[in-house]
Amino acid sequence: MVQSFRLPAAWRIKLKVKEGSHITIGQILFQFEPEETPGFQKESVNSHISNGPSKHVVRANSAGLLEKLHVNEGDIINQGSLILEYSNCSHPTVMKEMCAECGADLRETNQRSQSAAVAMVHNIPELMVSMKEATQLGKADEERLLRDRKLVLLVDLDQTLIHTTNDEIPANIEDVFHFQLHGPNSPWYHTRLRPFTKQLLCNISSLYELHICTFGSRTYAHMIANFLDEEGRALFPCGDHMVVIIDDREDVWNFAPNLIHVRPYHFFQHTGDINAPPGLAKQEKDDKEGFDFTSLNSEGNSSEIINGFSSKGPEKEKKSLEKVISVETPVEDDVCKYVEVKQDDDAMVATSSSTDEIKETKEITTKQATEKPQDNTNEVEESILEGNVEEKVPKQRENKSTSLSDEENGQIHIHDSDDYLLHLQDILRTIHHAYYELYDDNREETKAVPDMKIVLPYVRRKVLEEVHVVFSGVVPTNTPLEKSKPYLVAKSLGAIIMDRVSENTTHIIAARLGTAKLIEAKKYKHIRVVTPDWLWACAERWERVEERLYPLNSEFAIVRRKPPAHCTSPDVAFQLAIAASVKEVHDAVVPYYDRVTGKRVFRQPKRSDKGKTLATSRGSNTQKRFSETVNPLLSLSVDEIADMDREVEDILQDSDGGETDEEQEGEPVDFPSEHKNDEGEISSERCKTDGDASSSRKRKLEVEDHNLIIGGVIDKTNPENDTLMVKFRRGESIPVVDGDEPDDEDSNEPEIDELESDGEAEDSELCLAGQALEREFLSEED
Amino acid sequence: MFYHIALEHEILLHPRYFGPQLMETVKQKLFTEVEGTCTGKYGFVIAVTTIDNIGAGIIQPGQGFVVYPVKYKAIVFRPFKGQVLDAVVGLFTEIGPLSCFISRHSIPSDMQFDPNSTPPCYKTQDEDVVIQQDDEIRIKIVGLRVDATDIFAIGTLMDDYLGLVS
Repeated sequence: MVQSFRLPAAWRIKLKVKEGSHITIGQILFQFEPEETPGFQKESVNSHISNGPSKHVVRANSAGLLEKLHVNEGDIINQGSLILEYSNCSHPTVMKEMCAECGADLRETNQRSQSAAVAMVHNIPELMVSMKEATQLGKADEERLLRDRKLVLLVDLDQTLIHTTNDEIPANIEDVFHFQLHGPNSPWYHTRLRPFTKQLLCNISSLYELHICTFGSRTYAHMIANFLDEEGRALFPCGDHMVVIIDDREDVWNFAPNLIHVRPYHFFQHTGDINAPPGLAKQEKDDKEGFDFTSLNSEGNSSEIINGFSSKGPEKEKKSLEKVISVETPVEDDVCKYVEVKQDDDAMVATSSSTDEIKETKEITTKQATEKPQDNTNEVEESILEGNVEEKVPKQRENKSTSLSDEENGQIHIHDSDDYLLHLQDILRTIHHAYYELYDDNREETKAVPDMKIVLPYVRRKVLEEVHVVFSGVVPTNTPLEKSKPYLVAKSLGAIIMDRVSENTTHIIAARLGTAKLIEAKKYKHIRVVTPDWLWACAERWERVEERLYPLNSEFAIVRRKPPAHCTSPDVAFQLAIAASVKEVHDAVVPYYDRVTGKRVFRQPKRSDKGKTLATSRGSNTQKRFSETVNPLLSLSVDEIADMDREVEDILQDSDGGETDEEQEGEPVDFPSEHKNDEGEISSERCKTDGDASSSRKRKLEVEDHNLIIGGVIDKTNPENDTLMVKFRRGESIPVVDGDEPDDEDSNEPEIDELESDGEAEDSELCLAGQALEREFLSEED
Repeated sequence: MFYHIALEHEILLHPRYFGPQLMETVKQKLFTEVEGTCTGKYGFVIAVTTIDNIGAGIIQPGQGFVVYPVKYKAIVFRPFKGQVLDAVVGLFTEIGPLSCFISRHSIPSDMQFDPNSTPPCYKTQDEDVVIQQDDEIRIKIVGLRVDATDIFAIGTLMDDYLGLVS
């Protein structure tokens, strides 16, 4: 509805609104005062005109958007002239189903969030804005970022900046925060900040806008944010080209190329990622890396017995109490686990049977948290009263690194040798620098803003630039070099990988001594011999690490031939994920993370059960080829599938009428020959490509129209007629039609490109072909 | 708007409180259970002023718990659409217990958001008026979402005499 205003007589007008601006209810639209002083009479046209001595004000009587102004400031308006038009509020911002502009209740008017559907601010999920508004805000954000020369950094919490556990730990460890999320009876969480976290955030916040991003609950994130004194904001409706992500796992980001995979921070033993995303099951890592508090506790207890008690009476009492505690502890552990499992649902209900016990232990924990062991005697008494859980005198303990004890304030100071964040800081600085360098270069020519997905891999490739690497004893001989992890890691760092040692070689990465390549390398003085750990260190720190730190010494030195999990680059991991998907995600729902919103999207791989059995019954070669149809990125609409079904059916009807199969000699063996036994059946005929099998048979040519879909018609005489599918099956390179995953852009290395074109086969035609072929097999076998 | 009204509430009491302090416990429980809560109809219960009557307790069969019907008077705060109120700026502006959202477009257009100042603020070009966190502003309520146990408001600064209270 468009409302318009007309004025009764000749007035001088003073506008209070601009074209295109939002109008709220009661807002002053314009003022006017009589040009001369004619007999003025108040007239109300769709609005109320407040009657002043000389000035008159017109207010909006409904909220909306000012569409058009027909007058200019200071114009003299005559009777009946049109002044402005405005349309009703489109409710671009909605808060709790109320329009935030006009206050209209959208529940009543039944236009529930039609326009506003983007949740903009991540700590207020109820606030929705329209896409248009979101884009505007996003643009404004982007401009602001560019103006301030900042980038966006998505910070993961768990195991990146912090490590949280809900196991019972001593209360007085330095730099460990204790908190409860769900009221006084909920379990305690203990969070340790990674060393240098605050320093990192301080230094980086001048270059990056920080956003926290976690799979934990909102309250959890806010709690941690309080510790870190940072705040998060806004998703990125304008794309993520200015976003850098730091996380300890890349699967949740779908291996986004703008991700820096950090080394997971592990402080507490027995606790993995406390907020592992659903679906990607939380693994209870029981590794040795964490700090073991049990020994700390036991030491504390024993020393305390020696220190604190001279008389035997209390000691006995204490011991008995200790027993009580030791009985209770497992109960609590169980509950903790139970709660852990439940925590995603925010359900913190303990089973009634053990509630009392939990309460008791909780109380103890609470006291622990506040308790400051200062007065010894007092403390001893207290400890008896409380049932004395642990730690009276903090004792020194050797960690895997070093540990210092700071007894004055009763805080156990555990030295943590983790200095990864310092390196991360350097990496982030480099990226920021590179990004804005590129931006400045670009600005002179085009207005384009560089894409982080290109910049980040580019920076990574600079790390080992001009380094020529030969692997020796690292890649198993049965694995092709191009597909091995070390190769891909080195490649992503920009190293040039060579097959054999030559003049240009600068580094040999060797896993053991005495290989032929090493001996050959002795000819050249300049070649440096390093262990694979050197490469992993480079990948972790994004710098050319000093080679002398990683010498290849003894034949029996333990070297890691596989990179640690965090060293893989997105390209690498993506390859591996694709390979893994063949085995694991046959017809499971594949979680997929939308690049823009970061939300989990579920896609069902378009693949039937029968297809799976068929695929497995074939030779491994074919199976691999067909695995590409299980590409998690593949998506076909229902219509497309229906179309294909129809086509296949058409073909089948055609071919039923006395079809003879065409087979060809010399065709690479794609299928195992066990299909030979049912020669009468068309399906097996078509499947079979053995050279000795009836090679002269010709297939009806009417099918050739569909050759792309079936992929079965091969005219040997004319190689041009080889369909894509056949080429594909032969493993020849196939023209990539589109299938441009964003991942593609960053890997300019030909090898990786080839791999990706294999692996990602996003190309719809190929997928269609594969699908159709499969379906055909299926339907004919039936 | 504030009202002083008569209300009723039922107190469920565990048998362990049966004793000389019984009535005292009931009163205490009333305060803790009622003050600070919100009902859509009456708004936020700010404070209980008088307890008029504590009815006869009814023992719940099978449990032993007792229910006391209590009549009391309380001061309640019930916001209305169109009401002008003073609020404290935060993520939402807070009018006592009431949270109120003010849209970007409901802030006079001569005030611009400046994310780089600490703390981030809205200010006019000449920095004459600066609205930042914990400032007191006068707003007008344009919309109310009244749920069973919560009230939420949409406010605006677009009117005469609204804005920073100095």
